[in-house]
Amino acid sequence: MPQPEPAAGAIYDIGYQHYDGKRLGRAGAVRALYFHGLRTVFGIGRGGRAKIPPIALIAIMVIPAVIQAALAGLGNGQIQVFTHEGYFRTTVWIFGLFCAFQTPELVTGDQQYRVLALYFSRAVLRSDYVLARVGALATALFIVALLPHFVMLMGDYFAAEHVGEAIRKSLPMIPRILGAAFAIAVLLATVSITISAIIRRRPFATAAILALFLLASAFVAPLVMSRPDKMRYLVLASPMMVGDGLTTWVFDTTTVRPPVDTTEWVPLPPLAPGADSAAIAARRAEMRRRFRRRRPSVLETANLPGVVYLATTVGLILLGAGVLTLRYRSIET
Amino acid sequence: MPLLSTFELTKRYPGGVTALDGLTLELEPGIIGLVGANGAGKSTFLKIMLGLLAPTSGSLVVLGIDATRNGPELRQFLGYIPEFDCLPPDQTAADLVTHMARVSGLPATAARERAAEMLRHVGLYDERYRQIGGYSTGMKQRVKLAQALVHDPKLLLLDEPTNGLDPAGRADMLDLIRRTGHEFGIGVIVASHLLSEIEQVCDFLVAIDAGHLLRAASIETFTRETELLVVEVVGDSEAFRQSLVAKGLAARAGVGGSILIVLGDGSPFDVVRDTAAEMGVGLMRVARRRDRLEDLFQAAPAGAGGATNAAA
Repeated sequence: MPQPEPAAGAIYDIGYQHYDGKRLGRAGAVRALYFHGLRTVFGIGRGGRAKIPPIALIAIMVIPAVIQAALAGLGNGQIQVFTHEGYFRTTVWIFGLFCAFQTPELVTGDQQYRVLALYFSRAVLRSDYVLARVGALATALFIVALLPHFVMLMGDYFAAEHVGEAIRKSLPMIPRILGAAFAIAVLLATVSITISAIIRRRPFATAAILALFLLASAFVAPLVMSRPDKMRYLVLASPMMVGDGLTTWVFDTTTVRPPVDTTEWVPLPPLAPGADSAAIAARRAEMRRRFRRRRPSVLETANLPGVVYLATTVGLILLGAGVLTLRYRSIET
Repeated sequence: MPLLSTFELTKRYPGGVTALDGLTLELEPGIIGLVGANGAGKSTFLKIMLGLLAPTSGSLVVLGIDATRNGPELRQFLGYIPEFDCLPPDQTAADLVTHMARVSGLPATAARERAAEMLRHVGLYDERYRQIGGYSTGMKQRVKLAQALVHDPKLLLLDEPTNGLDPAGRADMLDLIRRTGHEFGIGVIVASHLLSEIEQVCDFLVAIDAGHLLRAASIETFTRETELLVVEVVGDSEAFRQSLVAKGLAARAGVGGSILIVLGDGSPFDVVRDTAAEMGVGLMRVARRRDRLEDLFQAAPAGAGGATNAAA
């Protein structure tokens, strides 16, 4: 056994101190994992480059709100380009990118580099770990979702002649903003953590989240539009459409929309080769009439009751929780 | 209070593999070596100690806490080093050890202070702000030790801590283990398949094979029993061996006509010399040699019942 060199020995010989301070136990451990996760989502403590995507996405997320706040100032609160109820739909792709790029970091590394072995040798249970990670991402998404609404509200308040009245007027809006943001945050967090935990490799997890969050709606929309009677429930296959439907419902619970007459959107039968000029003129008139009317959105076409979106949201969250429980129970450390 | 006590501890995996079979042990604080070939059940035993794996039957009490029921409570007082690589490459050692201190339940300030202190203890103080991905195997092993000690555990569990290390790294690691056990006053259980290594640092050895307890004895006992005298003669080797046995020596035939004599307590040197003179055979070689672990297991199977190191 070679003796350590004198210098190294001198460093070693400072002596070991026992710790008899406070121990925060399992609750402290879960808290530590939660805050560590929250920092990770925003790229804090991971070097400069890791901060670029979250900060860029948050900046893009807020730009429409800043424009709206500026317009509110210019137009005395009369101009409404971006609204609270429509904001999620406008920024769906930013939520998608944020989840796709920031979620895998939270859970894939812990599996790939087997850091879980270190966590689970502490007072942490597997369910604690899952809860802390989902909670961290949900909190981050909640903050990101609320930020633009906060900016728009501030814009309204500053533009108003009577601030008190503006605040009073906005009060019914606030629980809806919070409720919709909360539901979307928990939904997207659970789904994207579940995907990342199953896939385990960062690039593939990112691709899968992008596909489910952004491509699914593009895939589903034409199907729903072509056969609304049979395909309407397909909108529930896209988490983003579920979130959109839920948001619409939360902001507009009292209004019952009249069902959209979808027969309007059935393509016109082709003209016979030898059609006369009157038939062509009638055809043109019909096309113009249709063109002037706003085409209904996919969700309007599907026309599902709000409760269906709420039930789907809760269902997806529970499903994710179940899959995550099974997944982490099966990991050997 | 014993460090650990088991009674009839058994673990069978669903596939029918029995990893531990009726293990009964009582261990007092100190540095304890857990030796056995790969697949002998060492890692399974460590995981049951951590409360991460439920035994099929039997009981296990670690530090006075029932490991099968109160895993989370018990793990607050345990430090664990897995045998595999388990460090995130994109974090600095300082960040990781601080984070693990907090996950171990330490408040933020204490976590930072103790992380720096532990990294100094393991000799990584100057490199602590570098990313772990750039560390050598030896440095990574030290980070693993630092994170296992950062919350001042009462018992440290190490699974093959010298795996993949070069001779200098092994020596450093063994030295750190010795210091942890003897200077820091922390109980240590080291699982390894390399007897020659852990016997350098252990006070007590537990040998298991295929889930069975082979031996549990103090390191002195083991050393005595594994030390052999190898004798080679010019002449009739077998006749020489038989006359040694006739004179009360535990002599058995080794490979290539050599004779192996367990050194034990006595001193067989004079007997060997006198016998050789009487029979007129030439002594070609008389040398001390260490028996291999496997030989020991075959030569000295475990006695019935439990074992304790209380007297050690």
